[in-house]
Amino acid sequence: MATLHGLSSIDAVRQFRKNYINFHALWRLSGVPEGSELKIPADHPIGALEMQPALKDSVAAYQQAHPHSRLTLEKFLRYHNGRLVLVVEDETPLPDERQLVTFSHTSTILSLEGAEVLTELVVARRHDAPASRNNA
Amino acid sequence: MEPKEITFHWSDGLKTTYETAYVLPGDAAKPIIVLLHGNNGTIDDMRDPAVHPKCNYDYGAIVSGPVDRGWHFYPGIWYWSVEPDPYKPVTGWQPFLGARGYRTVNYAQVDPAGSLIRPVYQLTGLLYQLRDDFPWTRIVLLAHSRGGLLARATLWFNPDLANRVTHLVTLHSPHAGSSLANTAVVASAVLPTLAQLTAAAPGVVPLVDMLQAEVSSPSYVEMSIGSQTLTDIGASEPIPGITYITFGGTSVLYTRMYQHAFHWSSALPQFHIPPFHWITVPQPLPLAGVLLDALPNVAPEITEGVGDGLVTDANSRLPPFALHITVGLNHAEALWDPSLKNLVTGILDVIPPLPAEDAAYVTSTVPKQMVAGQLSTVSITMKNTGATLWTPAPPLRVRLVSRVPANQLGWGGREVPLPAGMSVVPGDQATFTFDVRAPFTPGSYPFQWQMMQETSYLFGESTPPMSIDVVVNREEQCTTYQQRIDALRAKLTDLRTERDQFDREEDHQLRQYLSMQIMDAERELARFRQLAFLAGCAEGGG
Repeated sequence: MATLHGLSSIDAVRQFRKNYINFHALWRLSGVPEGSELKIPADHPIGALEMQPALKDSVAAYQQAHPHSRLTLEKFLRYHNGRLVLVVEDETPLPDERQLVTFSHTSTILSLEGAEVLTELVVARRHDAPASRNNA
Repeated sequence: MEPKEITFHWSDGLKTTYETAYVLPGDAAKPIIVLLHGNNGTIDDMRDPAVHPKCNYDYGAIVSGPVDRGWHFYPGIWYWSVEPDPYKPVTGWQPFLGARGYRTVNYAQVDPAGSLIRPVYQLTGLLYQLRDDFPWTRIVLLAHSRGGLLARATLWFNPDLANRVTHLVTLHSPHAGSSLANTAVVASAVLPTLAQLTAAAPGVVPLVDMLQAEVSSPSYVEMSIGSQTLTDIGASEPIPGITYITFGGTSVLYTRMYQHAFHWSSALPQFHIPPFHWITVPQPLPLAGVLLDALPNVAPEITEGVGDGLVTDANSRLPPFALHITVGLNHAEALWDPSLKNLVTGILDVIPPLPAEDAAYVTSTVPKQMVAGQLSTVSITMKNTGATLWTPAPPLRVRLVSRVPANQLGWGGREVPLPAGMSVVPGDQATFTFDVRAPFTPGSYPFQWQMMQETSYLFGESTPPMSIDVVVNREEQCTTYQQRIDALRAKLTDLRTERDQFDREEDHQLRQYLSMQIMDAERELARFRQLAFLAGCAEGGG
């Protein structure tokens, strides 16, 4: 992504890594807050999770655009109306900045019955095949 | 040095108001600068314009970079806000002039948005008090906007101040009025529409707010082009002795406007609580410029290159007796712009100190002895050793006054004016010849005089301390007493006759008044009869 006002995608990736919180480690110490749920990818593979179709579409589109790379979905979180309701991760640290890819989708529903804001985020690790590195 | 506190008073005919003002310290050789704020202004206008009128936008500022708005639970998209330029630190006239060594007086005008009448009374009281408290000091009026009209109206009512108020410097004052005032009805119709427009494109919010505040004040009638007030003020100008300097502005640029848009990263969730880190970036809002360009259709005052947002440069001029300087500033910038300050102080710095009055005693003819109660002619000659012309007429009103004892009426009066029409140039002498009446009681009495100017300024050398022996010449004394006794008797007869004429019930109060007059005269008669008796005089009559 192009640099805008001094903020580039590289800056954003580095900020993402800098701001990252490992909820698995944190909540093991502090306990899982009420209303939140913590799962580990070994028991609940992220690819099998029910998530917004648009988010799955984004992952698929990226995969299609990078045929020589393979993605591993490692972390997932879901915010519903400003509350962190689900985290799927283990102690695995974030991928390094060359391997980090994130996908997210925010959808809203507004009607007389109520309003919903749903944000889901997937953190993936990109494994580049040796032949594709030259094209990376 | 501490500020000097001065107490002055003024009356609007209904009430007398006492106020305190402060003269901030400075170089005594320089003039005192009286600072006058404009319409709807406050004391901060000339002291700290970052507080009021607070239009100190820094439209020379470089557009700032991304701004961190913190963490949030929802994505940040589109606009965060629309904002004007940031404020910049500015220095008002009072601290600036203080740093340049000028003594300044700054005060809050009464009725700042009302008629000029009471502010004129107030400024008059202040100026006369300054004149009395700071002899031989020039006073300069430095006025912003309507303050210039206030200064001119005050001098119109008090032309005698011209020997002390020597310069009037006005900054963007509507001397020839403002069409915004004339078109108050139009403005009151247009400005809400503009205000509505600015809700969608706030590029001109500060300007429209300022305009609305100005045209909705009662003072706009006086500031209308062709108003009777402006005509009256100008009729007596130029007032001799006053130098007029006017400044006018031609910029309507008060501030630029920026939209602060969310950076795309504000919509990217992070593995964090909260997940969204908002960052905004400023971008100039082009619509503000478009609106400002359209405003010239409303009034010349808000036409770039013609006005300063409230007053046109042309209407901030006085007739050719005044020096006019045009500056590319808006109405508010005149309160702090450094280049304007340098222009003004370039003028103030060359004002010479007021030439001082001075006098030396030359000679006198004064009797060493006088008979009690008698008149005697004396003469005192003083030399003008100062730098000013002595004249008997206001405003200088040079005269000789009794110094010792002060306010002594025993010599028959405490002031001796210069003969009418006489003027004494520096180096020349003036001889005051006048009659003094000796006290009625024998003794040795002091006799010393000194020159005075204006209301109460003594100046120069006093006459040497002298004393006059008042003695009794029995024959002359008795004659004097007898004349006085006869006069009092005649007065008593007249008073009693007059009182007897008012015998009706409804004349009761008048009779009572005359009875009191009779009692006073009887007491005076008894005193002189006693003096005559003590002097061994044979009193004539009964």
